[in-house]
Amino acid sequence: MLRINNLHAEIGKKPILKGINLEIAAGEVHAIMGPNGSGKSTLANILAGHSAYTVTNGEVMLSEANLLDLEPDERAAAGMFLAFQYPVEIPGVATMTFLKEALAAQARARGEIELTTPEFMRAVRDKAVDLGITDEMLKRALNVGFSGGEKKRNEILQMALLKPKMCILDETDSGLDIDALKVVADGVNALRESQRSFLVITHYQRLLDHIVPDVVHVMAGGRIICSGDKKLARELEKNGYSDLVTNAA
Amino acid sequence: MNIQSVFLPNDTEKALASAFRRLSKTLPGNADPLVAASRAGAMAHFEKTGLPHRRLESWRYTDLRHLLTMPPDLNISARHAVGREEFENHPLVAALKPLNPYWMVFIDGTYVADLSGGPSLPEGAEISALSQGPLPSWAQDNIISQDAECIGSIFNLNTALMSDGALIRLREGVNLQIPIAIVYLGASNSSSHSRNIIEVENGASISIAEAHGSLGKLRDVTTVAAMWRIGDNTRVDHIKVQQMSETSVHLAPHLTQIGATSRVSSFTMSLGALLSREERQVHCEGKDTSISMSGSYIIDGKRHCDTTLIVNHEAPGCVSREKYKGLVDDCARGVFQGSIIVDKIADKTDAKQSVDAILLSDDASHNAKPELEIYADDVQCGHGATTGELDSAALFYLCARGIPVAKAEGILIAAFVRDGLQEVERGDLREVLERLADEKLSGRNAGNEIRE
Repeated sequence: MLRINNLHAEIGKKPILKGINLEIAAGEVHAIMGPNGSGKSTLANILAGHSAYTVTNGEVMLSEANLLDLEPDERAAAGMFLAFQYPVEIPGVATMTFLKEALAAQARARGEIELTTPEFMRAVRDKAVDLGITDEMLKRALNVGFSGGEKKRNEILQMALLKPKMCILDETDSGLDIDALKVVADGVNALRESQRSFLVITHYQRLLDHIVPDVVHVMAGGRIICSGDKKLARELEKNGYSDLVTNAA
Repeated sequence: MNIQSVFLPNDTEKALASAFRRLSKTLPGNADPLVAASRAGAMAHFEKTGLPHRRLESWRYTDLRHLLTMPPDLNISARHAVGREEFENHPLVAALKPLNPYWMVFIDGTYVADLSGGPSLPEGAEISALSQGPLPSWAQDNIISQDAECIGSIFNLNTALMSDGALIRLREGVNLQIPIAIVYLGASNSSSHSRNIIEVENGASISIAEAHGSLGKLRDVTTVAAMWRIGDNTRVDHIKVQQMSETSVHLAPHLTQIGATSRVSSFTMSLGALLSREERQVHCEGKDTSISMSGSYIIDGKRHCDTTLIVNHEAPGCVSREKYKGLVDDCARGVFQGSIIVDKIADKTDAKQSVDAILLSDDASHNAKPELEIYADDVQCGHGATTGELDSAALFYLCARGIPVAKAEGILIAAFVRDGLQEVERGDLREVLERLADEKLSGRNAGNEIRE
């Protein structure tokens, strides 16, 4: 589904990613863990097409699409979805309007038929109920005045509606209490299927108790320094990163 | 050594002075010697000071003396007849129509009775045009009570040359349900000087929608001065939209005096003209009054749009809000100067002012100069000014959900403008402005598509 070859990137001449290699097959869930400043969020932002970073080398393929050649909206239409660590508050844009616009834009880009307004409303309500998102929240301006948990649930709602192929969750567990974490994880688990893959970026094992990964990678210094199965996450929780990082260096 | 500066009038100033000498006998109200004297006094003062220039602090960013080069051929009667169909098809008129208002229509600054009128007005609502016969005494009083020394040179120029305008008076306690639409449309390359005089007596309420536009591309110069006298316990809702042609000049000084426990809301939306200045002096003279003086400007091309605002708190307990939003594209320039002055006796004043500007191109510019002068002890005053680009984080967020960048920009721009329009309390007036703002912004989007 996603294939990253030797990806190098920098921000303002400072190298952040120094040769990332990663392959995620269809239907798999991969987790990336790693200390602060290791480049995890940078990787997520680069995959979504953030213009602050310059890719200096490497290739990223999403199915057959060469992702680095595409604009952020084209990447989204090709099936890429980033659940933001800090969802942006946008005053004056109603959540419902935004959702409709995003769905319509992706449908147009893919040459599909747009949902009618009643179909759209029904789709939103169905998904929103499962995530505990009220009509009142949908009427409010996008993420404005939402709590941390509401913002993250709103990200999962968008993911559920847009039906992407490749979902990246950038520290989705940050700022969530235990109950909210469970709601979000249940939302993600409900979307797991054979033609959808996930890359879960997190600091903590806790999220991975709920969203159980197939593969766990550890990132440090802009590289993936080791990979393993879900047991690796438990070891990290027990021993920390320092041994691994020292060994890799 | 003292250097005595000698004021030498330029061609525009000479033309204005000679127009006054040529026309003064025929200008309305001059049958009254006091009005004639006021006009002469105002012109004498104008001839002494000339047009304002950048060495005056309040005109620092708008060097009118340098910028105003058009020959101001004074217009006294509509040269271009405008039919009902042409009038009703004008976008500003179409936007105002849902209000079902009482119309006061001026073409090239001259009142046109055929296009004016509307639902019958209740007793105590007196509406007429300056050019229609002898001036009512309350309007005369208003004109002759001005002090040429401190009112400003554009006001003086307007006093000297004003040839028409709307005279509106609401007697005590009259609650006028019918909105008044004051429409000024330019139809020829000319110059006109209009005066609106509005008196709202104690306990009265009124809503006024003012529109200034052009029929085609014109090189016209208009000064439209307004004097508002608002009594105690009143309610006033006012909107103004200015959408003149890209080569027009529009100078609009306003002087507003407000009594006690009133509620006044005024919103100006500037969308057009090559050079425009909205200049507002507001005096909160009675206690516990609440005012909102807000606005937005959406400007592109080579437009220069100046908003200058002075809010004087002269009595205790008044609340004032000024919220301005500017959207500046191409090589346009926005200027915002806002002062809040709180007198010694004006304790419990609550005044807030903000201006936010978004620059949409590298060549666009915006100058903001907020000022506070506070002489009372117990007050809450604040101001803020921001100038920047569209929020790049918000833009990325929208694009990452599949919305193309041009569309995402359009969404953020529309949200910015609509947020400003929330200051308009009356829903029907806000809808007029929303419609016109949407039309302006859709024109911008259409332009982008062509460029792509």
